[in-house]
Amino acid sequence: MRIIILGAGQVGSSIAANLSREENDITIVDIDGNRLRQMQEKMDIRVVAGHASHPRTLIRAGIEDADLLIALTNSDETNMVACQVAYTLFNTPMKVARIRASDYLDHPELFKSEHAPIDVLISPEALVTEHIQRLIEYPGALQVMDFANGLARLVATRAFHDGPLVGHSLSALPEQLPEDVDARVAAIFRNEKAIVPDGDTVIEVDDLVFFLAATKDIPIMMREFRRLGRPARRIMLAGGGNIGKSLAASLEGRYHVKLIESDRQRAEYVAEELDTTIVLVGDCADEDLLHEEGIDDIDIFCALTNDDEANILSSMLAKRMGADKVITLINRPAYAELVESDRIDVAVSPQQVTIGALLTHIRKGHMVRIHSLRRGAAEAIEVVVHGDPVRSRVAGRMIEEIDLPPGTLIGGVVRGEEVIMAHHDTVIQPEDHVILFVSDKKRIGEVESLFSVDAVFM
Amino acid sequence: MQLSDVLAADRISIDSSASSKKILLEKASKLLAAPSDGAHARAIFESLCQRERLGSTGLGHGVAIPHGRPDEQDEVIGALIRLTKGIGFDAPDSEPVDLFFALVVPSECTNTHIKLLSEIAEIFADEERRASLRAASTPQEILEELSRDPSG
Repeated sequence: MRIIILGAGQVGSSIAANLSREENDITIVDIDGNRLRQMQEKMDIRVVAGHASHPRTLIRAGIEDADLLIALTNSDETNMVACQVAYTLFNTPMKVARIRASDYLDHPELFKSEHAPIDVLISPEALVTEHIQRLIEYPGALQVMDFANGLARLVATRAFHDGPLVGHSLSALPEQLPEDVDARVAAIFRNEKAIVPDGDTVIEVDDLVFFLAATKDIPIMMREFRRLGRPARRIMLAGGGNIGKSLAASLEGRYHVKLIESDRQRAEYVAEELDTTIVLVGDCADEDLLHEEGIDDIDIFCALTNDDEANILSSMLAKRMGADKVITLINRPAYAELVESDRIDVAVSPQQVTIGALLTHIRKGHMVRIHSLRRGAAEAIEVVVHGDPVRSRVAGRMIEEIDLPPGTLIGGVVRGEEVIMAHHDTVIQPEDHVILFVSDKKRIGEVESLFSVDAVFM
Repeated sequence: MQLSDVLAADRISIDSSASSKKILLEKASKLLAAPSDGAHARAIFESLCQRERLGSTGLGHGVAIPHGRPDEQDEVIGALIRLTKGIGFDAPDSEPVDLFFALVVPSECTNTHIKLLSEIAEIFADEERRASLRAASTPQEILEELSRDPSG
């Protein structure tokens, strides 16, 4: 595929690295020539310096031959205009753009063909808000990923010594679960190394376990790995930006929410927009303020400002002062690695969340949802199966007959509204949504071609 | 439905050139669309691209059968493009592709359409017939080759 990426920022370069494989031909455009030269030293890509939405720049980047344009510059307007130019002048088949301003996103009619023709809109703030919302729903979860419109979820959790399944082999799982509940352990990471689980795998303390289950069964399954305290009730949000504000709006009906914002004017505006959330003006790393507001009673503390350092500091402080769980927004990947699991419970990287959403639309085959995991080392994929048993390597076959690449596991299948956990004799049917866990991203190409339809499929 | 029913000399382009998959699909769309109907060509183009995303229509041995089911398409139309220089098309054997039979069918997909597509794939699978299609010097010769009954 010929791909043009506009903007050589963090997301742009991660996407380029992720896609730069033999069969892809990638060109990155950025206004900053220095940054491009640095990137070119690390990756086998073409670079073009120039204004990303100018037709002449796009031509130099090869837009006439491009299959896909991904607009990720820091300017929403540049991204929108670039897609317009690509559509009107160059007939580019697929245009993906990151749009940050919620004011644009509130008017989806803007992005229809003939207006600002963008095939896929990616809004990092909305994605991050949903991501954190799901984490709050399950206090024991380190990551929660939706599949099949939320019918099934893949959850990452850490195994504790008090979990009933811990110390036992996975074959004991069905006996542990109530009869009408089924779930599947899709991957285990032990000391940072991936283990592809089978019935004999014994869960050890501190294992990072990814399991798939129908959404309604997740709390039951989670209890297998750790004793669960009471569900969260009190939540404190640090930072009243767009993410803080929309998170508070979505949580305030079900939880006691307090929000700390340092800017008085912004705080006033946010307080007006929200209903029952208590909005406080102050510094989220102020010990006295946290103490006064009962930090030791807080179940989940989320640091959501746009300042990584401030987020990390306030989270560490909150944790030390007694908050049960802390979730921290961290933009710089190096910071996230430094502090996660040690000082804070969950680091949320907007880039990582955005990359998954982008990959969904870039990968070959009929992908519905991709989540990028473990800083891009692994992926969880929902893909639709097409074709007939004669020609497809998947449809009409039992899972044990499917030639999956090493390190890849089918966790389950969603058939219509029904969530079916994968067993060796489960037969995959055409139009099934298959949920896979790929623990080695080098195998993604093989997964793509396994699920691609053959040439005569109509 | 016969192959000769869906193809016509004015939808055969020999010694054509394209620098990429995208340009090739664009050319095919123009051949397949009603003359100077830009909207129709765009609808066809989008349907061809959409189909390619599910998996390449490259068959190997330098041939491919891009096809689609555009909205509001009411007849089956075929076009043939032969390039002087092959292009990358993600074919299973990774070889460049120079010979394309493009097909659009109404959105109601029927067995007739699937049979037609398989018939084209079969012709393309035959080494001798691929050679004659590559050697043909006029659209007429291409039509004759395609309507030849190999068993006769």
